[in-house]
Amino acid sequence: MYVYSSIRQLAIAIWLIAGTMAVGSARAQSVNEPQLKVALIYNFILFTEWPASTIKDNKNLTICAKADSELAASLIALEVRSIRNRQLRIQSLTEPVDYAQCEVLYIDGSDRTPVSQIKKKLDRKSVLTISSGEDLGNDGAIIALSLVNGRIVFDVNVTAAQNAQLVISSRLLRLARKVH
Amino acid sequence: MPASPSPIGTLSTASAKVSLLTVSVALVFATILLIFFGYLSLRQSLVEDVTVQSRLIADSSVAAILFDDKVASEETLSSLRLAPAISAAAVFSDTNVLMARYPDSTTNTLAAPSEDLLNRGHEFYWGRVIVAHHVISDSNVVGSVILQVDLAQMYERLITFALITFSIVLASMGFAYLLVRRMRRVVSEAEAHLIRLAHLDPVTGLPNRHAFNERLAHSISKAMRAKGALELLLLDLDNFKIVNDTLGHNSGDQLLYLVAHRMTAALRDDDVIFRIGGDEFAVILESATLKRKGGAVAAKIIASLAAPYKIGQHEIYVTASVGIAAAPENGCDLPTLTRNADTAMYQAKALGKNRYTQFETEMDQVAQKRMLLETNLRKALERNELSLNYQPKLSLANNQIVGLEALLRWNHPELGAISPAEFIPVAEECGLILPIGHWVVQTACSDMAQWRDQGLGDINVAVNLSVRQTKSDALLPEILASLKTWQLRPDQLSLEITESVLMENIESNISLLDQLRAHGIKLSIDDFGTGYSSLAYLKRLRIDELKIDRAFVQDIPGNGEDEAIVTAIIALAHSLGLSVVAEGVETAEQLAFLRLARCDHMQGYYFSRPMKAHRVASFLAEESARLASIVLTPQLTLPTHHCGAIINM
Repeated sequence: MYVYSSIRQLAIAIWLIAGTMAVGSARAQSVNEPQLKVALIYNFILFTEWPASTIKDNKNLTICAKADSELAASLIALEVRSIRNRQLRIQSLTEPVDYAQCEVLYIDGSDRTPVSQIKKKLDRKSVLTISSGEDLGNDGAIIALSLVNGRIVFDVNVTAAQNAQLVISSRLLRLARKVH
Repeated sequence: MPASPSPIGTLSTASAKVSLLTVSVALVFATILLIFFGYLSLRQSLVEDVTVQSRLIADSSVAAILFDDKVASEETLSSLRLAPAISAAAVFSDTNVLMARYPDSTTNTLAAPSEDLLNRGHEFYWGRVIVAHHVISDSNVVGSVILQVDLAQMYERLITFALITFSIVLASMGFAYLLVRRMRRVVSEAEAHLIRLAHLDPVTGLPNRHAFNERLAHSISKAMRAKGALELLLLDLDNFKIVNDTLGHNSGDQLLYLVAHRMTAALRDDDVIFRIGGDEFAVILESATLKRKGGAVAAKIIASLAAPYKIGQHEIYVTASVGIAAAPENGCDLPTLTRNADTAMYQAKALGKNRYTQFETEMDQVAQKRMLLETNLRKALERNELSLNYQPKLSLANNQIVGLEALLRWNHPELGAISPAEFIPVAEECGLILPIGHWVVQTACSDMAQWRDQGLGDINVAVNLSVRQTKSDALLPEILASLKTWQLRPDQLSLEITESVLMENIESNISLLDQLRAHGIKLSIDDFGTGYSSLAYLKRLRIDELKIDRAFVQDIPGNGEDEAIVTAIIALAHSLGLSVVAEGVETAEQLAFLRLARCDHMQGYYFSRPMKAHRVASFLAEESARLASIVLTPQLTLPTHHCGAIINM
C-alpha cells in the first residue's frame, strides 16, 4: 500500500522545506526548547522496542541524564507518565557515572565525555542513546537531535540501534531527517 | 341436452390461478428480501473494509500526530487515492486540531468526530457512510481518523444485483407460468373427460343417474327457495327387455339411442333428460309458475316414441310408461320425489302400460302397504305363520271324494288373516314365491303321508303353481325330492297352473309339463275360460284336467251364456280326453246342473269349506255318509237349447 522509501524521501524533503516553520511542540504550541526535546524523547521511547531479555525491572523504565544536563529539570515531568505499563523514572547521573540502570541515555553538551567513549562503557547494552547538539551529525548515538533553521529535527542511526538490539519503529524512521 | 356445467373444472382453474398468484407474490417478496439482505451485506462488508482502512490510517498516523507532523499525516492520507470508494478523510489530534485531510479542498467539510461516533465506529447517511476511529498510541488516545465513504458505487452494484435478480425471477416466473398453463390445460382436459365419464351415459349421450341425482337435488332446493315448482317424470320402456333378449345388446343400445334422440327432440331446450337405468329415463321440468305441464310433456314423449324404429332389418315398436311426481305437493326431497314418481310409473304399468300417471297420495299408501306385506312376508316362513287348508273335491259320478286342493293361508299375528289374492302377487314380485311354493309342496306331501299312515289311504292333493315357479329350474327336482321323502306315488300329486300363466310362456311351459307328466305327476289347468287359451295349444298340452273358473259356475243355472260356456268347456274337455272340475259350487241347483252336464268333479262350499289338515281325517270319516244323501237329491234337467251348443262344438 505504501511505497516506503519514496514516502520517506518526500517526508524528509518536507521536513527540510518546513525549516521556516516556527519551532513548535509536538504536544503543545507555546513551550520552550527543553520541554519540546523532553516530549520528543518520550515519543522516541514510544517507537522503540527493547529486547525482552534485557528488561530487568518490569515496573520502571529508567531514563538517564547528567545531573547538570540542560534537560535535567524538564525531564522530571516525565516521571508521572508511563509507556507500555512501565513507569518512567529519571536517573540523574553524577560522577563517577554508572550506566547500569539506564535504558535511555540522554547526552548533550554538558557531558564532557565523547559519545564514542560512552558507547564503549555501555558495551553493547540495550540503551537508547539520544544526543543533542548544534550539529552532532554522525556522532554514534542512535538518535541525534539537532536544530536546523529553528526547527528540531532528528537523525536515526540504524546500525547503532541494531548493535544495541533495539528496534526502532519504521513510523519513526519515516519522520527522521536522516537514517543511516 | 347439455349437462349442467360442473363446478369442479372452474374450481380447479381458480385454485391454479390462486396458487400461481400466491407463488408470484411469495417470489416477489423473496426477491425484495433477497435484495434487502444483499444491500445489508454489501453495506456491512463495505463498512468492515473501510473500518480496516481507517485502522490502518490511524496506525500510520500515530507518529505523525505525536510529532505534530502534518506533512507526514497528509502523506499517509494521500494513499487513499487508491481507494476510490473513500470520498473524503481527515486526521485530527486529540485536541481536535486538524492534522490532515484528503482531498485537501474546501469541499471536504469533515469535522472532528464526536465521542459518540467514535464509540459506534460508523454512521450511515443517505448516500454515504462516516467511519471514525481513534488513533491510539500505547493505549493512549492521541487523535482520531474520520473517513467518508460514497455509497453511489455500492448502490450501483445493488441496482445491478436487483436488476439481475428481478430478471431471473421474471424469467423463471414466465417459464413456470408457461409450464403451469400447459399442465393446467392437460389436467383440465383430463378433468373434463372424467366429468363427462362420470356424468354421461355412453350409449345415449344423455347425462346419467349420477348427474340426475345432482341435478334433481339442485332443482329441488332451487324450487324450494324460489317457491317455484318442479315436476319429475320417470319413464320406463315397456318391452325393452324383449328387444334386448331377441335382437341382442347392440340392437338394444341402438334402440336406446334412438329413443333418447326422439325424447330429446320432444322436449324443450331447458328441460333436462337423463338415462338413469337400463331402460329408465327421467325428465326434470322446472317451472317458475305453479302450472302443471308434466302430463302434456309425458303425452308428447309417449306420442313421439310411438312410430316404429328401424333397427337393422327389424321394425320395432316401443312404448313407455311414465310416472309423474311434482314438488312440493308429492315430496320436497329427492328420495320421496323419485319414489313417488316411481310408484306412479308402476301404476301406469299396472293400468296397461303405454300411458302416464300422475302420482296421487293413495298410490303411496298402496305402495306402503305392499312394502309392509313384503317385509312381513319375509318373516312369515320363519315364524310359521303360513298354513295349508284343504278343500275336498267330489266325484259327481259316484259321490266319492277324489282328492283335496291345498290352499295357502297366511295368518299374521297383528295384521290378521291376509288373503292370498293380496300377498301372492307381492311374493311373486319379490321372489319369495319360490321358497313359499317349495314349502307348500313339502307340507302337502307331509300331510298326505300322515293321512296314509293314519289309514286313510292314498289321498290325492292338488297344489297351485305360480308364474315364477314354472320358470324355476329347481321346481321339478324339489317336487321329486319331496315325493321321495314321504314315499308318495307321483300321481297322488296334481299341479294346477292357471290358464294365463300357462299361455304367457307357452313353449317352455309345454316342455315343463311334459317333464312333470313323464314322472307321473298329474296336471290341471286352473281358472279355465278366463284367459286367452289357444285351442291349438290345448291339444298339445299333456294335461289331465280342466278346472272351470268359479265366475262361470256362480250364475248357473239361470244365466244362459254361462250355462253355455260351462257345457261347452265340459264337452271340449271330454272330447280331448280330459276330466273337468267345477269350482265354487255353492248351491244344490248348481250341482244338479253340473251333474246333468256331465261334469266329472266339483268343489265348493256346498260340499265343504276348506279345512285344516288335522280335521281332514275326521271329516272323511264322519261326513261321508251325509254327503252321499245330499249329492243324490235334487234332480234337474239340462235345458235342451243348450245341448245344441254343445253338439255344435
